[in-house]
Amino acid sequence: MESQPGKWWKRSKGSGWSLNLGVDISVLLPALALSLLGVAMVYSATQAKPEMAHLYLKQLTWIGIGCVGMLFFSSLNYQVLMQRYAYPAYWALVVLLAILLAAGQEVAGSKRWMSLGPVSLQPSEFAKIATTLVLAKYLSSRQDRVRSWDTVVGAFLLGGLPMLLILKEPDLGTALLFMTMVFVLLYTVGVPLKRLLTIVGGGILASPLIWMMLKEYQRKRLMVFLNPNADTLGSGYNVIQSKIAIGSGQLMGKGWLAGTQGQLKFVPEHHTDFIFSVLAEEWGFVGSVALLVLFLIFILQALRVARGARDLQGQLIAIGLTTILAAQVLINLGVATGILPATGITLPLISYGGSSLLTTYCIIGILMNIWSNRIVK
Amino acid sequence: MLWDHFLLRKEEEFQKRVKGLGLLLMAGFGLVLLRLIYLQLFQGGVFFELSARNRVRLIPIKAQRGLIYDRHKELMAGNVPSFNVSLIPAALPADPTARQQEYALLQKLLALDDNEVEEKLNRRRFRFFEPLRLKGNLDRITAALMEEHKPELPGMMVLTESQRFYKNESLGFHVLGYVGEISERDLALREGYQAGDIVGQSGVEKIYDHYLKGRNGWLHIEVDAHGRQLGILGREDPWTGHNLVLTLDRKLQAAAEETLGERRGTIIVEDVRNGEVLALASSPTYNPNVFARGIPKDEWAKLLANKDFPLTNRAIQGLYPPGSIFKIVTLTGALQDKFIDPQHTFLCKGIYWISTWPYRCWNDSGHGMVDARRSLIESCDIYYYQVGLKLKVEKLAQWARRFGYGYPTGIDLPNELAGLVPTAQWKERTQNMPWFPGNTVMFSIGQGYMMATPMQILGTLCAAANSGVIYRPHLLREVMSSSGRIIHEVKPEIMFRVTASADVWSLVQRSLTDVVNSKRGTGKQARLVNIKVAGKTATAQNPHGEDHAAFGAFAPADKPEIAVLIYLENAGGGGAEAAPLARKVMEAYFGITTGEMVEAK
Repeated sequence: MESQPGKWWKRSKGSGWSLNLGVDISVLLPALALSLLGVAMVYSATQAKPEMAHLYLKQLTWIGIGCVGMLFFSSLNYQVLMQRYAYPAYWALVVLLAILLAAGQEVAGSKRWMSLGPVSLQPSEFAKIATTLVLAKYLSSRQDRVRSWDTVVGAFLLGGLPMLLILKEPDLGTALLFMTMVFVLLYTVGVPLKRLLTIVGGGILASPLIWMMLKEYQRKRLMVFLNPNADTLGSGYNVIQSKIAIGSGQLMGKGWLAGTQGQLKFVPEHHTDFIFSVLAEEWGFVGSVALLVLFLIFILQALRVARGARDLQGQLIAIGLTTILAAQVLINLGVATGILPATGITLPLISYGGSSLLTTYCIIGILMNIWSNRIVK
Repeated sequence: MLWDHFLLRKEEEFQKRVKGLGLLLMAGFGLVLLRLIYLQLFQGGVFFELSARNRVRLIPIKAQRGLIYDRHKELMAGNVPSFNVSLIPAALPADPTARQQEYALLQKLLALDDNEVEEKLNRRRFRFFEPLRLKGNLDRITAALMEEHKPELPGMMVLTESQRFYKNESLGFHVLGYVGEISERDLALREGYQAGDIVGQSGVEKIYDHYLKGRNGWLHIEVDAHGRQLGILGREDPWTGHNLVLTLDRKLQAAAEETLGERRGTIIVEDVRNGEVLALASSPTYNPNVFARGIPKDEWAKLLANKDFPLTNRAIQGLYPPGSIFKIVTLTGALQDKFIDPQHTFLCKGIYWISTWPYRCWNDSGHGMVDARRSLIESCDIYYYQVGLKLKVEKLAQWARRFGYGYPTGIDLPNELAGLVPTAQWKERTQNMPWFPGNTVMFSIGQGYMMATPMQILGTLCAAANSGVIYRPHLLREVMSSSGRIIHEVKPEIMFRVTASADVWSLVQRSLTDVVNSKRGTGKQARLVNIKVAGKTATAQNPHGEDHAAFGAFAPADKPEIAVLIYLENAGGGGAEAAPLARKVMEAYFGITTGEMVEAK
């Protein structure tokens, strides 16, 4: 199956869309397993509060919706996707994020949510995909000039625009994900490591300036990170309780629905940001390692897709999307176990949340399409 | 060639960098793994101890239930503080004998039945960390006693909460309803409730529970191994429920209940101009405070066994024949559909034969030649038998439906009944018998199979008063937040619009006025001195005993404000028994609104 790169799709259907049911099991299977694990955890985490006890059903529904999104993207040729939809989707989301900032309703101190009838969506979740696509397109188009500074600056501008809007919501964690993704893409496309480190160094030097830009609660979180015992009822309280929950799970855990930390609601937001503490408490070290292994398989399979992609564009998309998911997993686990400061990032596929699930499944769909269009040697 | 080589080098570089990325990620996972090994395996024991000693209790702070006012903002249902004893199942001793000892002590101190604690615990299958209410409405001495015994009773807590209190005791019971602890079944079915929540079980307490209940808060308290409170860690404040302002007029309600007295039956007063229910009395009644305090088992059993059904709201759950009040419907239909003209007379000889079956008029000696007006004024049955036979069952049923019979009125009370408008098909289906002309004549005077709630019958008076317009009866005027902001305002809603010509309505209205005000009218006893009343009597036969007495009225006859319906079970004649009660209620209404007593002659 040899053909001209970048042209072959023109010979297929004009829309570039053909139903792809040849599901790539190696990415999907760990994802489905993780999702079901997530439903079980959301169920356990919400049973103590009757008004939330039905959330696991919503989570199941979103998995179904996510699968539809996945099939859609796995059936839509990614080169067509890039050609026609990457920039429109990117700009649409940038505008949406700006509108949200200007006119959105504040929920629990931030403007992350957009209400659409019965469901609330987080445009920042979908912006992750759109920004990755645009960056992949930009960088692959400047393949021969990657070492020039203007390429680097352009990439930072493209990634920085949605990032700043999200930072302003305020959602520090998601904004950091964008930054990470830009760095990783620049690295894989061939920008010398030295140059990237220079930028990081510059950032550190500018940090007093950033400190001044941070919101009060964000500063507090950083401070608490440095000394969690100082503020047991504020942000540090979450981390301490989460650590107690995780640690008390020991080897085998306390059993499903039997975690005292989670059931007693010591750990706040434990169906979203701190859901790992529920799993670690109830299913112990064994369950935690199983989760790690599943995520590792999932991410390594996604990287395999990147390495097999037919063109640079496909490689970069896969790398970027994988980076976002992997960084999210690592940051969330790092926060829950007390390695990193609390950032308010959800655990993909496990935490409760429709937008996040839908986004993750769409990412899987795109990866599946890139994989099915690989050059078979 | 050179280009290919370049691409190849690029590809190699890329693969190398992706590998590097993979390694970086694996290092990240490795770091998390190391952290988990440290937290769960090395420090696991320490953290387990910490979690076991993590004796934070989450105590729900029950939201204050919203208040219920009458239309003049006079309080009808409020709250009073009370103590209750609750138990956190998860905090009970693990040892079975110690546990049994605790149950026994609790039962002794609280004067509960043997095994009652265990039974209550068994009913709760989840939520072991939420307090389970053992007994409410404790007096101060028992509350203090329980506090004293706290060290011997791990998991036991004495909580202060607010209890529903109906200021006027049983006044307005069937409208207000009563409250009680949510059942385990409702807890599973309804969203947004917690164990131990007090919810409305009937009346507006039930139908507007979502407004009244508010939202519970939480108190995070730290306790020691003995359950003693060490400190408060955090607090989520509860939200007080919204207040209801009803359409009810407390004074008029009191007058209606007093007028009704011990009789079994119902009195409804409604503003015909907008459907606001001003008074709704149903008898026998009950004191809802008994429920709020927690009704004892034997009292509850007695209440359920009571043959007079005090819990039934007869105004919307009693099904009765509308009797002669239905003649308004039959006459309107016959005139509007031109089956007869107003001057057309029928002969009443006191008895009417359909082949060999005799159908009697209430007046044995007969009314002679009767036209439309006289038929209503003197309530001649035989006139209506003959009109009914012209209309036939289909038309009668159609007109009954146009007046709202057969449909629940949609009043804001739970479990309203729809009544029954019979048709030939209905009889065929349910009794497997054909419809007979005899059924039609009974239908034409609102008897036989016809069944309606007093609220529906009142609608007929409203239609007559308003020339066809029937507003939906309602009890809620507005919902106010606890800070006084108006959340919801109820707008009048036209429920039915009975179409008939102005001549027909005028004739009906003049006739109904004469029912009360002319010499031969059947409703003379409802007459007021300075306000003209229009009305219609009904004496409904029923197979289970004495006739039901009913009277429907509206006043002032020329510019109607209110409609009144009196329906008394097994009380005798409508003119003699029900009409005087209507007079008393209307006296009260006009006395209240004009500030002076209106007396009958």
